[in-house]
Amino acid sequence: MKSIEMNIEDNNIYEIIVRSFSEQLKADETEVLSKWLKSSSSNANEYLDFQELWNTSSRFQLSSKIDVKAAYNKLKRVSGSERKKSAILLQISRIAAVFLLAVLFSVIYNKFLTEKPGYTNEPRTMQQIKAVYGTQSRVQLSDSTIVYLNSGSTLRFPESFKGMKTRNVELIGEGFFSVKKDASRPFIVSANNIKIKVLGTSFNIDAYPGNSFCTIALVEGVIQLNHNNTMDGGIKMEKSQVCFYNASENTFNIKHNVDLNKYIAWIEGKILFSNDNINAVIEKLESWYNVDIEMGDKNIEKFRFTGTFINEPLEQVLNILSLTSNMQYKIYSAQRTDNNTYTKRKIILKTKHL
Amino acid sequence: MENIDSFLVNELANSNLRAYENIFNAHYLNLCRFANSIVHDEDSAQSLVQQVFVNFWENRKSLGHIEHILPYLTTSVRNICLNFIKREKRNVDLTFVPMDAQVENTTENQINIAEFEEKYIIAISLLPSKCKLAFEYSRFENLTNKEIAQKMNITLKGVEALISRSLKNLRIALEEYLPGSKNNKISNSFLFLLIKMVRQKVYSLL
Repeated sequence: MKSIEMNIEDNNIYEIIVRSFSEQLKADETEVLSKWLKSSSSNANEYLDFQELWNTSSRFQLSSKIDVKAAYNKLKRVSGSERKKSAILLQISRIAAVFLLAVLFSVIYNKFLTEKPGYTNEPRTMQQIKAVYGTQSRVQLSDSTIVYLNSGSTLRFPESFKGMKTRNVELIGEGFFSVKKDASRPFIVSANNIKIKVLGTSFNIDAYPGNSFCTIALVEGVIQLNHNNTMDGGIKMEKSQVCFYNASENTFNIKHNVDLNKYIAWIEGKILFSNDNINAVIEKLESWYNVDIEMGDKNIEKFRFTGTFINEPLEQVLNILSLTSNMQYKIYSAQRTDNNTYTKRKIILKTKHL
Repeated sequence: MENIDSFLVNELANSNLRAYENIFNAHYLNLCRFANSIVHDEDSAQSLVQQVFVNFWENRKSLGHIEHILPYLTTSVRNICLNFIKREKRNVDLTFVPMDAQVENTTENQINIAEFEEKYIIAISLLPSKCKLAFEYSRFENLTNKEIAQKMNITLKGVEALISRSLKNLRIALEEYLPGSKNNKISNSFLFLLIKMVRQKVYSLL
């Protein structure tokens, strides 16, 4: 009996109790514990309570390890502490976020969903239309712009202007443009070393390669003329003005309040001369009928011509011109050259020898 | 403890983030344990406890009346968990009650048990720090007493002493919920069963 009580004192009964929950007790420890439990009901109750506490605590066990630091950071992100910011700042940042989103979308749209000539190296499918000599052609572009091409003129234009910042076309020869208005995408005609930038107007460009002047006649609206390599500055043209561009001297010369009929009569198949000198007549006929015209003598240079021709063959036109002036002509038929091509027909103009 | 808590509440009212983090670090884990004991889903438990902490921060200016932070948090967790269970139409899974128990799974019992667990978590946090550490290592981290002794750099006997001291303290704090108490809150039939079970185990020792 004494030895047991000694044991209880030595091995603190509470340590035995704790051990009893977590591991197998040794024989003597079991004996000590059962003695202690039997000795009083309060001891038994205490043990029951400990056991209950022990068991209940197991309900708090978690199967996975919880990272408190990560949880705190997550909490900070999701909600709480960030709200320290003033309400105004929050409001501003909300508004800014909306704008940012809008800008982002527009950037994405502009950059990725639309192609731009400046942004993409992808070759754009270009189409080319050439009006047969002696005829006029009418072309409607994808943006509803209408272009009339005069005899032998060529227009190069993209199949579609979709995604382009500007609507660019190239003209060789003469063309009348009735440009569909689109303020966001200027229409730019490149012809003979100049660029004509318009928003929505109608105008005529006479830029046949052989001509001494490139002539631009503006019927409606406003256009801007630039040299090929610059796009800023340039010359503004207004309604009823005609601009003569001298490519060799690189000069612009604008005439105001001009009767534009003779510049655009060709659209209806008319050739219109009104007090034009022989050079203008020659340039017109050369391009219209695809012939070479030479002056046989210097006297012809002084001649001026007036007249309207509608869909008439070259001989008829020359006939009438010679009937109304002191000029005669001779037509040389096309010659076969060494490399099996034919030269243009040649016409030589001479002063009549009465 | 009271002093520390009222100091923290005061700092919190001044939007002191460090006070907030301090409270979070001190109680998050055990609140998750408590929440998990109600919802039986550790992910849900975590997110519910985090929600409680979000609300806690949002209400920080109006916490002046709080003397003890943890009871406020445990009550919040308990309510949010019980609402969650109601919403999720989940039953409180009282796994510790044997299936053949003649205990009615009454709402009152559920609430009393949740209350017991709530008080339990609070009581653990109020243990002396070394006792708390040893007790949590033993019960929550599943470390053997030997391992705890190594971790805490004390003797095996020292560990057992700390744990037994913890149990004594907890018994005093949770007396009314324990079978040894005459007027405990958990229903008699349940208690009876519990006592029977425990007795069986105890007698098997004898």
